[in-house]
Amino acid sequence: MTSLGRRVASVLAVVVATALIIYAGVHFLAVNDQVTAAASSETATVTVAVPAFTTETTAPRTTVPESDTPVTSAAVSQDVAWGSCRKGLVNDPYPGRCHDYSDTNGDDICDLSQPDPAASGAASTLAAIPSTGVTDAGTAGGLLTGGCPFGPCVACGACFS
Amino acid sequence: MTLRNRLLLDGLMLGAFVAAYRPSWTGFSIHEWLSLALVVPTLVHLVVNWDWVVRTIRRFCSKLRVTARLNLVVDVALFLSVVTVMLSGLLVSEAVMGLFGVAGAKEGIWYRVHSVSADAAILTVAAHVMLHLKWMVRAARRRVLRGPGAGSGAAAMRPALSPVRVRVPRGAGDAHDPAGRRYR
Repeated sequence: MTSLGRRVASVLAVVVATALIIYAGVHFLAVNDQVTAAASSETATVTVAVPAFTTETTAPRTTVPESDTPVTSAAVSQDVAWGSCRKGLVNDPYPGRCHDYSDTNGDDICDLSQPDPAASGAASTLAAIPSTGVTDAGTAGGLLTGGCPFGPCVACGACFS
Repeated sequence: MTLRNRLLLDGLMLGAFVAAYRPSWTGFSIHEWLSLALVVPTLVHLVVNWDWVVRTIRRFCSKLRVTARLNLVVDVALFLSVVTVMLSGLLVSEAVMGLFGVAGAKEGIWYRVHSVSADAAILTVAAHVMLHLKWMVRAARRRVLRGPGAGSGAAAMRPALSPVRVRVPRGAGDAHDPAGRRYR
């Protein structure tokens, strides 16, 4: 093998070995995180992907749960430092500008730039919103509640605030 | 590799690296493809300087200039951060992995690793550039002074290889030269 060939082979070997070690290390940490999270959420019975926000308002968007089981949003907000973006960003989309991107609810918005759904008082009123719920006029067909954070009253249609 | 090509490669790499630092500057698609394209020149840069790396590592614990030692530490940190940022970037990428029909990693930890390693990489790149600033300025000045044709061919390399006196203590030879011969 020529000198150049040897050098190329050495470089590639070192790069691949380093990448594998880093991958294994981070994967190990990720698995550990998941195990810890699973252990601490044993009491939570229902989880739901909840909060997302329109850009116009800071009111929480509520995704309607499949069942009529009351939902405690504590299950959603655990282990997430909601609203603690160190740059004070609000609704920071993927991949985020504050370098701490975390998206537990899968809405492609950094959790740290969103307020805690539990703290917003949603826990008490988040129960059993009918699946024929409100469609936000500002977004295409989604079950959003831009101006009506917790959806309308089933009986009278009035907006909870 | 000629001086001109090395300078060109390093300059382009630096520019691309800075441009790829923030996805918001270029958009995600360009950010991902530009970062992927940086893999090849980074490997070339590593291959070109591999001998220096091996030699310096071998002599790290023996007699070695402080600047060379510092260079090696910065370079190792840069290597680790660049490999980490490339790996995590590839794993969370949507444009690149999407092309191959592979879904990117969704674990939040990879996003955090990507962000932290990107910061570390840009800092170590800055340190790397600062440590090599003198060489870069000298090489660029030589290229400017000798005109656009300079640096293409062995003749153009001659000024860069002008004789340099190296003081080697008696008996303390290079790792490749157990006899301890003096280099001139």
